[in-house]
Amino acid sequence: MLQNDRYIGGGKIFFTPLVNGVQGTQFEIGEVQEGTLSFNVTTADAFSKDNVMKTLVAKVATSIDATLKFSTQIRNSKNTAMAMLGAESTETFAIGDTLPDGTTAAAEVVIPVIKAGTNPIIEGQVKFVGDEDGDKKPVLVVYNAVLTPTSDIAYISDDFSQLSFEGAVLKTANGYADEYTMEIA
Amino acid sequence: MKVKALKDLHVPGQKTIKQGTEFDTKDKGIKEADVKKLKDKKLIEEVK
Repeated sequence: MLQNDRYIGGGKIFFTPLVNGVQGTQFEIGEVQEGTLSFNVTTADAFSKDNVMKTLVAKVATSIDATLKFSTQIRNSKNTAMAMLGAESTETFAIGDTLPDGTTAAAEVVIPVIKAGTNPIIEGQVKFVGDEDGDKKPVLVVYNAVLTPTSDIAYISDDFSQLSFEGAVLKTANGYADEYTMEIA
Repeated sequence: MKVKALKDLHVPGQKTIKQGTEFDTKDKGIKEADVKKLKDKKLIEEVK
């Protein structure tokens, strides 16, 4: 068992979409390779110029924002739909219809399809659940984040395909995010 | 029924049946009612 409090080797990221204010069903983003959360504070400085050497006399925070980043290796219909800013759907083809690959349907066929660009805002709750190999399991809940895909969607590639996302963390009634630490040992 | 594909055909969950390939509709799991439709649409022809 790992005893280093600062080493978080892995875990899973779950996403619960928020569409038009209605919370959807939580799903696992898929084998996440890396995930980070960073906070940024903008400050205003007040200086005294009573002397030649100006002196910092006050510093106040004027704004705070947080950014979330993660990338996943496994592609599934849900995270691919997120990467394409689209929505999952199905299309039904009757016998004799020309299918997307140019073949002809020899029976009724129902094919899953992602309608790209139909969902330009990906908003929802992001939850990171750390693995249980350490003596503590961190659980991070980001209550509301607006995600943007930041990677190419690879169709022909020598490497494993990765999907990357970056998001602005919005402040909610619960705050920005909570990190829970669960004892494992 | 043994038939010949007159076009590239797709049966759900299976690889493409290439045009000109002879196959048995039962082996491909194509229903009797669908075989008739495929013949009517000239997508297959019976091989005797």
